[in-house]
Amino acid sequence: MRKQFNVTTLAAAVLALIVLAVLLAPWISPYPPAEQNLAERLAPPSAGHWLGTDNLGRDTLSRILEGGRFSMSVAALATLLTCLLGVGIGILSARRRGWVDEFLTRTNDVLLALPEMVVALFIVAALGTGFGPLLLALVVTGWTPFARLARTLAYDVSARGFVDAARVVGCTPRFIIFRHVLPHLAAPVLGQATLRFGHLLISVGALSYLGLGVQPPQSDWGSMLAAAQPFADRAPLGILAPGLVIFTVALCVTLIGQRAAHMAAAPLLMPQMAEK
Amino acid sequence: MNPVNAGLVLDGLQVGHKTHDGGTSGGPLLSDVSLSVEPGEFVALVGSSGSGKTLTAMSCLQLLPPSLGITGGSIRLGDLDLTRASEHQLNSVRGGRLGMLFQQPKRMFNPNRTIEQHLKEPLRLHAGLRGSKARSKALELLEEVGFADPAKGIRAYPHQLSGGMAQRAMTAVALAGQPGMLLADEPTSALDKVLERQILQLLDRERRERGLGILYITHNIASVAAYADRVLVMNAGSIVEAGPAGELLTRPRTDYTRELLAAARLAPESRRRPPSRERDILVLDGVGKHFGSRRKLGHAALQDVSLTLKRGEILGVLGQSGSGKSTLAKAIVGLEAASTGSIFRQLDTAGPREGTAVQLVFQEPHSAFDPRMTLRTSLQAPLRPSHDLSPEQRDERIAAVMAEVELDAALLDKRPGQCSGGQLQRATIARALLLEPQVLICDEATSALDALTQRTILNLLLRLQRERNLSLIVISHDMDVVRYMCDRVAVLLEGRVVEVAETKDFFAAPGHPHSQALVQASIPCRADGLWSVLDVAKP
Repeated sequence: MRKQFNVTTLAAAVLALIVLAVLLAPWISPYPPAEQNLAERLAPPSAGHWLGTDNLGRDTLSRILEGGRFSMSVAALATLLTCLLGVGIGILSARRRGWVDEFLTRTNDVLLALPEMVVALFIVAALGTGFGPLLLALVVTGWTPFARLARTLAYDVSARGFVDAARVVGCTPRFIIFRHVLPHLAAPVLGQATLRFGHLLISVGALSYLGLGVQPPQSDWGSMLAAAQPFADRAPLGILAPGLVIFTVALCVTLIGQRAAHMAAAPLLMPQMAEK
Repeated sequence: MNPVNAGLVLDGLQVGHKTHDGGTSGGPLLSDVSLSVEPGEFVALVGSSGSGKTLTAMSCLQLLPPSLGITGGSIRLGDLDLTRASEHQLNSVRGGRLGMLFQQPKRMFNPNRTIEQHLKEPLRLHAGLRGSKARSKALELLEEVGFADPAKGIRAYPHQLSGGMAQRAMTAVALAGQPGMLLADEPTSALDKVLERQILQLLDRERRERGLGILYITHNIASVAAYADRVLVMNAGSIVEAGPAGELLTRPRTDYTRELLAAARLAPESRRRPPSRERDILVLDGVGKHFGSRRKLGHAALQDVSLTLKRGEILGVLGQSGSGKSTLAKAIVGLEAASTGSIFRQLDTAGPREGTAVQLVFQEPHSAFDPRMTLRTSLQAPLRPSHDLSPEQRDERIAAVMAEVELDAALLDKRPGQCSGGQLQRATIARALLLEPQVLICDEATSALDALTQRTILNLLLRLQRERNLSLIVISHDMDVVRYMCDRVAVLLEGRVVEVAETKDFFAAPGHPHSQALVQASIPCRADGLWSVLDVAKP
């Protein structure tokens, strides 16, 4: 237990550092992120460019710092919105049952049958590029796993004795949902959300790469990854640097999420276990 | 001695909490437990819940939870010391030489596997049977444990079996490995009397025919009196008394044993009330409940049930597992709408809310509370809808009902996982009382509790009934409970009421053939006359 605590603290510290650096990017970036210097194309790391430069001679570190703002905010917002929408729909399904459940579950199935990326592409193509349409595309395609999870768990909780007990003593459906059902969903949904965050971080990049997310010269981690790909043999850091940042952020969020899920489940553990 | 039929000997067994570094912390949970079971012997281990009975059985199988460990003593099966045996040796012992019968068969089966698959596993591992040989042996076993149609039963998944059938199937699985020694951990406490008797008779036959040694863990003294050769009494992790069944049950030496025996004897004489002249408070008229879609009426759980309940009366509803008892309770309380018929409530106008004047006490106290909430939060919930209460008034009301059910107010800040079954059942009653109900339905309210706790809860219910002039519906499969509590008895069979009678008349001369079977089954048969000495459940 003690060891896990340290890992979580470390993850939180690393994530905080990255977020802080990204927020302070305009002030701490060594170069303007879009500044080209064709004389120094694909330069290796040096004192002037800590992480080297890309194929247009732009400073990789500056571009990572700038790109993080877009990547992380879209991924975080999309995770939050899909989570809220999915859990809401899942609970509605489980509580209403009947045709409401049937309709929502089938809609879910249909969305799951379509490739996520194709639907997202369609939406972005129809509504135009930028932050808003991209977020919408990710939310529309992303709520399904949350809804499935929430529906199954809500069904399960609703069948437990204490929900019957609450109904018998006259508790309102609202009370049952907020005090009995939602707390039981918290831990698994948190776990799912942290996994989805990493996945969305990549999706944002993929859409940007296809020209549907950020528009050049603005940067984001996914599009940097994609843009550096043809030059991987000459400047491997162009891929490694944004890749590692995506990996680190996703890992940190997952670690923190696991700890949070563990804490959400703590009241269920036996007292002596919770103390350890 | 035949190596398969070797005796089980525990010598000075000690079990405690393990710490990370392999040491122990806290006091021992079992201390100096010594016992032996010889082949062909039926030994009963009795004690109230939490006394360490199940822990003893799990130690024998070396299946203790990871946080616990054996800290001293030895467990020998024949010449093998189980505490020192390798995992490989243990695997051949578990389910092979040493069988185990669990308390809740449905939870011990894998829901994704058929009974056949469950049976074939021990047959392959311990008897070396495969394919069609294993199948025919499995059918044989099922027939032996009383499946009327083994060919159908073998294809069933656990959820398709009733509680009694599942326990029989579990017994078949336990016997499939041809064990010489069987640990039976409350194998019948979830079953009704008829099934209980069948399972115990089955075990007794195995004992006589094959020399099966049985360690029977139970809190049901009546069954001990009927079947056990020797009795061990356990309290707080150690054995406090041991001796031949007849001697120990008739002349207990320790106070604890006396208390335990007294609790088992729910003397019917303790309560006799004249028939109530009060008015009817609840009238059920032709109530039916069908499961299935609206257009096609499915399985009928209740059919044409007509009953009345007078004010201040205690009505018993008897029936076997699956007879529709719980569905009836849910219909009366309003958790499930009846498909046909009607339920009239003629309540006093004084009640705070018409909807909550009929309250339910649940069978499984641990599932009746949200494991995340403290008891205080759970008890506050019923008072939330009435906004006219200030937080202080609310806390006062809660403190008052807690006192009424004799619970310490300090318990309010605990979570269900930290409370015992008895405490939680009192808390369930307290929660029901908060709403000042006029009718209280107890759905097997004490069948998950040990005899001592059961008795105190029943007496609590009787006192509340007297003080508040409550009407009670006591739903049970336990004849003793119904006779102890009730003024009138209704018998449910396959969703129909087949008999309603005054308690005294019912037990003296049950009318319907099914009632006769129920009354008869509550007296286990054993020729040696021990039953009449103990006089536990004789009508």
